Amino acid sequence: MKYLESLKLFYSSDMWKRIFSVAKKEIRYNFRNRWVIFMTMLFLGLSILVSYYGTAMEGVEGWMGLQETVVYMATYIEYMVPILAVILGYSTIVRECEDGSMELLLSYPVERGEVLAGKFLGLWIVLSISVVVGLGAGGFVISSMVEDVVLAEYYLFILSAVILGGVYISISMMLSVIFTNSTSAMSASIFVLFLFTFIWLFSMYAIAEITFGWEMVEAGRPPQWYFLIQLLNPVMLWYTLLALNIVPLRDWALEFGGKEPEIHPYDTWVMIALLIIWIAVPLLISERLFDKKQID
Amino acid sequence: MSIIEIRGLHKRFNGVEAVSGLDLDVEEGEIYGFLGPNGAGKTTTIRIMIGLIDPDQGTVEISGRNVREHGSSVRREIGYLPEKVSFYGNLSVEENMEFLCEMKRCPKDMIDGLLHEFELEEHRRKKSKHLSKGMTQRLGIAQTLIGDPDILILDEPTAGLDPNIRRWVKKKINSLKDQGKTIFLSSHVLSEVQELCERVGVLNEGKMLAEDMVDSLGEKFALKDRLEFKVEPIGEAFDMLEKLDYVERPRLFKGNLVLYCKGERKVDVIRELIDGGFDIHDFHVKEPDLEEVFVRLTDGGRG
Ligand SMILES: Nc1ncnc2c1ncn2[C@@H]1O[C@H](COP(=O)(O)OP(=O)(O)OP(=O)(O)O)[C@@H](O)[C@H]1O
Ligand SMILES: [Mg+2]
Repeated sequence: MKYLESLKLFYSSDMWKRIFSVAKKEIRYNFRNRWVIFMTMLFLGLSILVSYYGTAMEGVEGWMGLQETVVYMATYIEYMVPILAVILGYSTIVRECEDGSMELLLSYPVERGEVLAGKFLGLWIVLSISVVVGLGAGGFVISSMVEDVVLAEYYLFILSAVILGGVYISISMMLSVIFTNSTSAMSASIFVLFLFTFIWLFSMYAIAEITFGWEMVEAGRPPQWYFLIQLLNPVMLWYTLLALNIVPLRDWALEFGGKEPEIHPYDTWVMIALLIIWIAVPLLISERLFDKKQID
Repeated sequence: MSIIEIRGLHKRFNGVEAVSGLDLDVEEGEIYGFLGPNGAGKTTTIRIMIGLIDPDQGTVEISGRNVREHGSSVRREIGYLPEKVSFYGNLSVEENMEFLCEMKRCPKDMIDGLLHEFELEEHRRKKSKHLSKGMTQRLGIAQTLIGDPDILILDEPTAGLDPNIRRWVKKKINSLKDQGKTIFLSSHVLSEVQELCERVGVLNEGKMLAEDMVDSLGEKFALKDRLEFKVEPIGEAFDMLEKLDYVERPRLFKGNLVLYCKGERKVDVIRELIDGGFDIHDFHVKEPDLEEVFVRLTDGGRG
């Protein structure tokens, strides 16, 4: 009880109140952004569509189970969640510096770190709501259409998407602090989107070819360091997290090779911890840079 | 003790010295006019005062506290109007004010009063991006009063406004002074500073050229009143006045006779005209203004 009281006191400090105010403002602001609404509808539509038509490619039409839907959805969530995160994050600082509202805000008794923390919190909540509503409603429709629903795995899937979104919000916010015009911040964010997907895959392929040969990867026996490098990539961390926990995805990964999860000596918690580091580090860098940033 | 104290301030932007060794003091309760042509370094100085940018050298103390070390506690006592004030475009007037109130951790019940005072009540639900320039500026000044700060720092509060709103803003600023606030305002409109301020500093190329009471600045530069007569016969009047040693730069301008003389001699000029039997249909006196000080100071004395 005493613990709860002091916790309440802590979160009711001026600092937290300002952080929550900034977060609230971001939430308000971004839910008036039609791209955010559009992406939410897209999550919803796609999860239903994938469930119904996903198997059509394999010649079977009709509802697919929730678990199998996850397998197909993972391939587009990998792009969609980071894209939504980037839409939310890339301009959040730089645009306000450009249009002058940051100058006004920072003339108030608020610390720059509080502004960043509030923005991150608010944007993450917006993304979470969008993902949870979009995928959650999709999941709800599907689970009412099919039998033997394993909801736990679907929840994990949604949670993992929210964490992946957090990573990209953190990265794109950092770029928003670094760059002094929105166009550069956007370009850099798009580059990061490609970096951890296409560019990464091609580079890893090239590295394998040059050093030990791609056959080793296909045979599931690449050297350990090859896997360790993969852990530098948040998308790979996220994918591994899913593969470790969602049965059909593991089967699927095994079938296609190359991304075989069982070879990873790491467990779920390590993946989550690494993803959280991916959220924290760009935020800390942002804090340092934003503190020095000249607002003019 | 001065409430704002600037010492040895320097700021360079890629080789350009925007502020160059500035010293400045503002006393509690006064309206200080920070005057200078475009690019003089006014906005840069103000941004350093608020802690938005860091100086290369020098210090700013407000209420005895260094703004770099005590930024947020100093800002609690300041209301700031940026040169180009901008709000969150997608939020309404009311939402913007509420947010700013939360940032100053002060009760929101003052918002109604402020919106009323600044004649923005009917626009309170408008998105701020849909406000006109004049409304935005009024909201800009309204937000400086959130939390009832003692010090107001206004960067060109009347720039870009039509004459009506301009007059309205000036009245507002005067009434804020009457409430005991210390007001620091920048401008390049000299007449305005003259009207509003008690003390002025004239800045050019980052340096303070002169700093004094508005009135004594005029005296110091031995400024002259400008007299304009509609008089007949004008040619002869001109010939006569031209010979007086206290009359300067007499000329004919748009059918009027224009001349300059010291304030205390203008009665003598009129007496001369009457005694000379001239018909004075009309006359006009313009007191010396900062325009003149300004031209002299920034023009290397050519004026
Ligand atoms: N961020 C910046 N980067 C480079 N130069 C700058 C920057 N900010 C200001 N300057 C330069 O510093 C000088 C002073 O500018 P400042 O905006 O302080 O002048 P000002 O007196 O406010 O002028 P105005 O009356 O036009 O508002 C100018 O030469 C300007 O170009
Ligand atoms: Mg300026």
